[in-house]
Amino acid sequence: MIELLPDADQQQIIDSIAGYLGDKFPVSRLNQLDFTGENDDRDAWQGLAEQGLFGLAVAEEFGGAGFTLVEEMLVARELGRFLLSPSVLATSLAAQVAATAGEHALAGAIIAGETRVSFARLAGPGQIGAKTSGELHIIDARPDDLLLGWGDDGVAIFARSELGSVRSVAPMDGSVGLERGLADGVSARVFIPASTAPLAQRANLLIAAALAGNADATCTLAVEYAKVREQFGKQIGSFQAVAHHCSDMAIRARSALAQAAFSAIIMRDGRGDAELQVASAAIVSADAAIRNATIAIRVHGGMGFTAECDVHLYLKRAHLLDHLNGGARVHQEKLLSRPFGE
Amino acid sequence: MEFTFSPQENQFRDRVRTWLAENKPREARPDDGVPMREFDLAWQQRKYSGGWAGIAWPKDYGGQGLSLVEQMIWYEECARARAPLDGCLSVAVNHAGPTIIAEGSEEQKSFYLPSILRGELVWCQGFSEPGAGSDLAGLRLKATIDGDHLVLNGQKIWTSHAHLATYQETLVRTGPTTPKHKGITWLICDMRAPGIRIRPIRTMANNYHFCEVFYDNVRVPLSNVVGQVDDGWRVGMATLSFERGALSVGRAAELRYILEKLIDLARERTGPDGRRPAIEDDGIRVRLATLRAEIAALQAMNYETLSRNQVGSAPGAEASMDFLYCGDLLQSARLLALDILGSDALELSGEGGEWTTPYLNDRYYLIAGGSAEIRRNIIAERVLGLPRSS
Repeated sequence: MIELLPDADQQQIIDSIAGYLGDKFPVSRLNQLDFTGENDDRDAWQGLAEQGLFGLAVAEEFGGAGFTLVEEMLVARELGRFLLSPSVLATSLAAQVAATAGEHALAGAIIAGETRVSFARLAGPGQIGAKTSGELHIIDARPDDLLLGWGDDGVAIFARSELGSVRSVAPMDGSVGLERGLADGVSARVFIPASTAPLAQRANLLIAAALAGNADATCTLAVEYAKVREQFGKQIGSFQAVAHHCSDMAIRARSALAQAAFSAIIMRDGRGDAELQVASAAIVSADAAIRNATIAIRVHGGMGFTAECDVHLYLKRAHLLDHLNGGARVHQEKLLSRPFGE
Repeated sequence: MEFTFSPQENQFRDRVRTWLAENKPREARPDDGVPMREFDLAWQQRKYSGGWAGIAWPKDYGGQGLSLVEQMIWYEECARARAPLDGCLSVAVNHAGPTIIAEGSEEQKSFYLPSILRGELVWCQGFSEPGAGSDLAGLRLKATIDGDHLVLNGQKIWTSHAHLATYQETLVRTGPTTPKHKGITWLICDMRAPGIRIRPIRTMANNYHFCEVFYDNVRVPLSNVVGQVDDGWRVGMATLSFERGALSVGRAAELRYILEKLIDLARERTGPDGRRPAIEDDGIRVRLATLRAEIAALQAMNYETLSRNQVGSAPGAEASMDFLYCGDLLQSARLLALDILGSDALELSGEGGEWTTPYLNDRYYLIAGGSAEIRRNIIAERVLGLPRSS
């Protein structure tokens, strides 16, 4: 059976989460100058937990909803579309990591929204693993957060409080917090080796899905603007120079959405080509998000260059997510490491 | 959301694979003229004898009536076996035949369809004219009724394989004063009729892929009109596409094999620095890997389109998006081949020609049957709901 479209239950998950996010987290929230992130809003985090967001794909015995990676991917697209903090993804990934390690209490606290988790990435030489060392970028974390990161060996959860000389830096993506901190042999609270479960690959896939949602959102913004903005006495969308840009954006968004969906199915089913499919999703979705935002800014003209227009938020978030995913070069090497299977 | 094959579908795949291994043509396909036609006809005849002709056609008309997934498997296996597609029979099998099935009379069906399936002759498509390319509805080939005939005067151009064809599906202007989309008639023109003159045109790839066709008082029986006189625009546009996206999956699979060959080529050939293999050159590595990712995405897009078409809604404009994406990837792959070959790409003889000729030839893909720009208009209007372009 070849079915890449969501079934009725899956569509219901998409509609319900998109409705909730549109209501509680409209993108316009990010344009308020005093916006300090979903982080500082305890109620918001609790609300996300009540939506079942953090345990969606975690087994029921750990307090999750027992859905699969595919449903989680569909939700990640919407998180990308509404520019939710990357910590939302980090937290649901951490719930999966805790469950994989058999850590009932930790999984339960994460799913309940009591324990928050944010992403950490190496900002230079070092390694993330059972022991983490090196300078790290910490993305949108609160002081008492756990951190989630991965290296070649596997995925680790460790405490932000164990890092040294943590300091805020000015982020390119101003809608999230960004810090640098030093890890000097920090022991993982939970560590899952890559050979036990492909959790880094899962992170790559969900981030790719968020990037696909991001690419689709800027396409929609540009198209809607091209329908209402008039110059030379007509809608600018009637000019082929603009219309063809929009068509190309739609194609790129479609390629990213389809590849994220297909990879999720392949990975859920444990097929041998999952790694290559996910690497493809990472490349295609980052490219689509960055290029679509670039064009969407141009379609908006002078407005597009202002801080008021939402598109720049998507461009900056696209770069952040691309970086979190390791960047295109890493995935390109995976793609050349062996032939695509049958 | 699922991607699995049933045991029956897997058995079907085995059957196709076995048959193709035993029956696919051994010799290379000639790229032009009568030898190419004979090759394509022989391949169609072999498929007919093997029970594989018209895989997308309904059983009632001698086709195989395969499900979309089975069609997709057929095309994937053809790509895997490097078996040729329909070649110069494509108009007959994928366009004229399906149009006659959808709109033709019983007489037309019983007369024209069997010879298409049996691979007896070639059809061409007389749509474009010197003054009607992207603006197809502006076509002017004049057809006036004279008794029980239509008399054709005028010209067509870019008619693929006209010089090799027995029949042509022809759009003519029967209503000179009606609005341009009205007043067009879809008919079957016998290319052997008196008054037809065909001038093959040499392409930039050094072959004679297409022709100009001139009509000087060519008499076509009214019984050759498919649908009604003056209703040809609807007939032409409403052509049922039986394969509904299955063929695109095959094209993506073909592209994947082209890329695998390209990776092998990059391993064998010395790279731009004159020392290391091309595959170790950073620029080439990045392009190969990116293409692999994009071809994977193309395949996912095709599967998504197939999923949509299975539920019975009319094939949508998504197919135009897949087609454009595919065309761009094909050209990237062809250009990359030249960069791997280095100066050997300058030779049409020898190994270079195997890549240089398709590099030149494949650009028709983004022009024929609606240029990339026309397809972008279609996507903008029908998928995105943007105003009609000006």
